[in-house]
Amino acid sequence: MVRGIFFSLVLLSFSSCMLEPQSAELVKYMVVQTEYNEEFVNEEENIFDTYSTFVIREDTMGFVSTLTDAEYLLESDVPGFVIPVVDSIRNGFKLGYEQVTEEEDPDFAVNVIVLENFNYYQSVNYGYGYPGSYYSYYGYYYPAVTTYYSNYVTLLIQVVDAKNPNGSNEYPIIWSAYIGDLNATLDLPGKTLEAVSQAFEQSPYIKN
Amino acid sequence: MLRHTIFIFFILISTVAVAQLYSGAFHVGWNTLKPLSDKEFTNKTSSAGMKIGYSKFINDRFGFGLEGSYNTLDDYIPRRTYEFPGGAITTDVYNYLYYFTVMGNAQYYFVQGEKFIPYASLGMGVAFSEYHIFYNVYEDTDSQTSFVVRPEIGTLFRIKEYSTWGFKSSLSYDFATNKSDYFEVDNFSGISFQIGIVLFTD
Repeated sequence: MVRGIFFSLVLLSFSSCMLEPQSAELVKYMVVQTEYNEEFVNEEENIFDTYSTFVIREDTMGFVSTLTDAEYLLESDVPGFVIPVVDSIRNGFKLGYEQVTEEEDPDFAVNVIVLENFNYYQSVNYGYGYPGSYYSYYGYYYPAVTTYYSNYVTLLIQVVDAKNPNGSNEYPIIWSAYIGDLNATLDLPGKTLEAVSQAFEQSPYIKN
Repeated sequence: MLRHTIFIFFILISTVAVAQLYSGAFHVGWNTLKPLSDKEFTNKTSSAGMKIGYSKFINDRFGFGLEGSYNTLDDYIPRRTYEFPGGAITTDVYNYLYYFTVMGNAQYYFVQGEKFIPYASLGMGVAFSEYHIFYNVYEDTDSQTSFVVRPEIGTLFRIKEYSTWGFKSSLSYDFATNKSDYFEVDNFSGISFQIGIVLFTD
């Protein structure tokens, strides 16, 4: 009897080893990471102050996945998500800049991409990423991933300069916002919109 | 001279007799740890821990043994924005420290009472510290192995005279030389309080 209690206590004690936070608590807020290109945003200059116009795709998001070959997300793919989120991003930039079409020679392009099981917060800028175009969903590479979640989904918003291609006709990425995780959240539209708003709030160098 | 020799002989016999009555003791207990350092990482007292060990009695005054322990320390930092060169990140953060130790120890028993056996001990060994930061589905970790020293005072308590089982309570201080540059923590220390069950062995 006593030995039974003793060894039960041993097992019970080991069962509480390596506790982790509750999943629902962990995903209460999305993580919002923003990065700016220090070559263009620094103490001497802020390229956002020179911008007046931008272009953005209004009805789709880019989609980069290690699981499927799909390249775009439409509102019908994720009802209640694509249009409201793109609208929120567009309205964020419209506070300081004028939205124009691609033919009207915009100063910068806003790319909105959903990354599934792919790419996570980068500590460095991508640099010049889109040969021949500032307005594309292609050109990503696969860096190391630091997540323990099996199927994570990140929303990536990028500002790509359309005025200053380098000699190889590559356009610099000026600003990136990483928002995640879209898959684990219990309120996808609501928490994503909250996170988009936070991305602008923590980027005061963008006019608004 | 002969009287002295006989006297010493009986003293030795008596201590051996005690030692043979119970040659050792297993113990397992619930451990509460209050961190005294690295409070920026984890500041909360944690009861999520245990100690388990075995002590071999040399005589009624001295013993030595082995002990393993673990504690999970955690803390929550509400959502805030952290700025870094070239950007910023906004998140809430769960900090976790998984603290394991394995050590040898030596005990001194002040008195072998009928029920209470107060003691002091000093242990030294290895501490394994795993630092984890959880934020949303993401996680950063760092693991360190270091030296740890643990002075301890406590008492064993028999339910009845010469019973094979009893209880144990102790108060100890841990100092570990661990260091994580990544999480900017250094030299963990904390005070532990343990209550547990003791199983005396023949």
